[in-house]
Amino acid sequence: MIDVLPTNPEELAARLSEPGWLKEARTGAQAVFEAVPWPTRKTEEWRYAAGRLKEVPFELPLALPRGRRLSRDQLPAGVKRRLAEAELAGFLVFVGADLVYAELPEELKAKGVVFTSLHQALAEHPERVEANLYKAIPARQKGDANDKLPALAAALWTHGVFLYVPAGVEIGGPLGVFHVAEPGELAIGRTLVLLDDHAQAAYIEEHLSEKPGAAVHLGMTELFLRPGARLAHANVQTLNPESHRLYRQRAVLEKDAALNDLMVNLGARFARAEVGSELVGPGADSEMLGVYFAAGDQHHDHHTLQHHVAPHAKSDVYYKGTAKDRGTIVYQGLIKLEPTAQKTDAYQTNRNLLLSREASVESVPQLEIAANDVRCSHGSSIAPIDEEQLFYLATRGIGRKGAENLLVAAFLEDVLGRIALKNLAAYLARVIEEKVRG
Amino acid sequence: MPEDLKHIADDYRWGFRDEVEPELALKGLTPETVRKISEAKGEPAWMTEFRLKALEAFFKMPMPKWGPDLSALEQKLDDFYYYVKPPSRGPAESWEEVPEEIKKTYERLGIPEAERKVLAGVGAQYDSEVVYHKIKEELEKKGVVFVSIEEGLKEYEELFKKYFAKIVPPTDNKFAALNSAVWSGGSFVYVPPGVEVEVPLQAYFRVNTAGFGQFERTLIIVDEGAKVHYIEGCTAPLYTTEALHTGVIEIYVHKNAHSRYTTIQNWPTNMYNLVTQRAIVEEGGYHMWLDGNLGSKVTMKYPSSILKGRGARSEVLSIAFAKTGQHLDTGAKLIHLAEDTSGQIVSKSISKGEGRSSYRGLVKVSKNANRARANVECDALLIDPESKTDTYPYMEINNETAQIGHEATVSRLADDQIFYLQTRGLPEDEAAALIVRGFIEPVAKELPLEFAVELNRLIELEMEGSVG
Repeated sequence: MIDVLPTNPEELAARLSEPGWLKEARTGAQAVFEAVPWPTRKTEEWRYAAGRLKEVPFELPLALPRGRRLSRDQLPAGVKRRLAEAELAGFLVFVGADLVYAELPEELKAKGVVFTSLHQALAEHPERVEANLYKAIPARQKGDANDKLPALAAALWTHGVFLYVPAGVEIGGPLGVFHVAEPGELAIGRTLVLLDDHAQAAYIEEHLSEKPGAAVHLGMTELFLRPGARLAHANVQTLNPESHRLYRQRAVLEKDAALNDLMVNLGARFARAEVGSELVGPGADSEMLGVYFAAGDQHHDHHTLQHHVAPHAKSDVYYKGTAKDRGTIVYQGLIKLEPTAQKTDAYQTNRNLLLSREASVESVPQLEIAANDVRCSHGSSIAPIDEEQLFYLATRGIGRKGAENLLVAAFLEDVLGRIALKNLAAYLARVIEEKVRG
Repeated sequence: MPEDLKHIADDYRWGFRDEVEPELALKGLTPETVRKISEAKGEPAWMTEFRLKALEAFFKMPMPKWGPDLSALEQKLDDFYYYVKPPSRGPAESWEEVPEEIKKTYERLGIPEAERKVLAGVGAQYDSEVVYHKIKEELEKKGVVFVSIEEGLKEYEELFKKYFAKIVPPTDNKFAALNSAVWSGGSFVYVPPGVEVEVPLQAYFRVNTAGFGQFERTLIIVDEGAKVHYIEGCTAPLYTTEALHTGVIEIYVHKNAHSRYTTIQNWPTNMYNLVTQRAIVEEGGYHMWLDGNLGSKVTMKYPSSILKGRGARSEVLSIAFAKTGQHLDTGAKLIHLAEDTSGQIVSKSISKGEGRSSYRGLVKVSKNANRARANVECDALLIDPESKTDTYPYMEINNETAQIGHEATVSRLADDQIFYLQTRGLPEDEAAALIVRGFIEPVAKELPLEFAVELNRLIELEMEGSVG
């Protein structure tokens, strides 16, 4: 693990031609990075992942934009395959830190939709970026080890996505972003999504590897939903099994805003996802879904936060996962209700299935409730495959192995039934079935 | 609601103080204090050594960084009395021998009455020394040992040494280390193989000196196929100085043995109550922790069962009632080490005023514990808008055949339920108390009668004027 930043943030800001405020933000983040310790096993939020964090090669060279552009035909094969079936309204493709390809229909541009790289947005919509960047995920939040990665990301991010949907605009199909990891690099990215009043959009971000070899991806996603805005959001990770992925997402939901979120961890050696929603307006609704499947030596680590500040809001977490071989899976989640959050409905469910002797699971669903007129519950379970269901399938002529595969796939795909992105659900079901058969 | 605090202080039933001058009182936490405690008790050298090592461990270990705020306690660790010996000469054989002042206290606690009813033996602890102790003759005949922990060390040293600190070593946690250094008082129980103790063994504890920390230590050994129910109630007068209680309870449940440990603490609301309770359960054995937490300023207590032998079972049932000024951080741990082990945790908590109750628990299944099953159920009831509750359940599962479940709900005292009961002619206060009693019923029904009655009275008292 690194103790000083491998790159000087001021030089980085100059190289990327960034405005003064951003340079200052980067140097401020550097100070936070240097002041807080790395998470250890004693850091509560990292108790099951600190060992894996130590293995992450942060010393890899930082991925810098190199001005690469590709034509649609030149796009990586994996991306092209996805494009053929994804039915996207528009999409961006990143290779390493370069935005190599972008497509957005003129019709959406004409409505004022902005879907581009963060650096282009800095040039064209500086005030919107400045007003929101780092606001949901600041470099310093708790002043402890939990700030280490957000501070690193705030100081050294080199590329990212900016999506702005103006008030009242509804985008028909989903927008897609593909990040193709480059082996041997530390890539640090950010995503900033702004949905103005009553805007509606669907956004899918996929992280994939084209080649073998270890890569590190550190990503921060900030989602701002103004009153009445509706967002379907998915983050899908299918990186190669040598890679490392560290991700934090925070959504801020104002009055009557609605989020339907999906976190998918299928790839990487070590993947950690911290997904949180801040319900700051009454009537806000955050549905947070998760699917994960660790095989081989994979470790998938999940943290959810449902932070209710406003009254009359609703949130629901549903995370399901499986581990086989020596895979380890972790779910930690917190429902936090402030004293101001009366009349809240908040739920949290975590279900896990272990498929082998060496696999393990840790589940820690937590509640911190400081308001009394609320409906709040959580449940977690760890259970083997139901023998009765296996028996039933056997009576229908399905062998044990085939029946097990069927039941595991059904267990995981259950979550997909609740996502707003039907096309993505079909693709994920296929990937899951492949991995189950693995 | 500051009036609420005052109300509790005024009404604190056991808040009287007896004028009994202690013979020896040791303040401050030093090796010197520890040596003097050991000397005053006439302990063997190994115990003195054990205490001194534990004190070293205590100094080395950091304060817990999680859970309730203990900073105020840390400031005043040196101001507590670590040993107080009342002016009585050893355990009294009969009620007549007990000093008048102390008798009065017990009368107010209702002990002689309780004894007349069903009690098999009363090991009542007055500050640190057991001053009154009685076991029914038939128990003695069966070979059941029920004595003070000091007497256990003196009279049954070999047996004592075999189990003492083996279940909770001093290095387990900072307050177990503290207890190991300065322990004083508590019970030593041994039930021989196959012996069933039909009536519960009871010990009452009282803390009677201002600023006095009590370091009760209990060791219970239930031999093969034996059966016992041990009951402990804690209550103490109310003083302005913040007091400290850190107990260590160790229970060894042998093959096919059956044991139950019931405790209700009703410490005054300036007490830090930091207790380590742990049982090891061997093959086919069963252990129940029944845990009630009503008093104290801060409680940190997580009764644990280590299911070591095949088919071992354990249940943990708990009730917590946190009022303004109280943070009750309680829970349970089930550690499954063997095949076919099973466990159940039921936790019911009530928070009133600005009170905060937290459930913190662990279910751990090791690689070899095939077919382990555990179920956890936590329900929290919030009375007032300012009331708080937390749930922190940890599940660490390393076996693919385990079946583990956790469910928790948070609800408030429902207006419609109160309204319904009012339409049936119940005054509002009584309706509220009835709902609270119904809420804790699944746990309360397991309580011994005296405790159940006391708990109901307390709830009625607490629910007066709490709605509307």
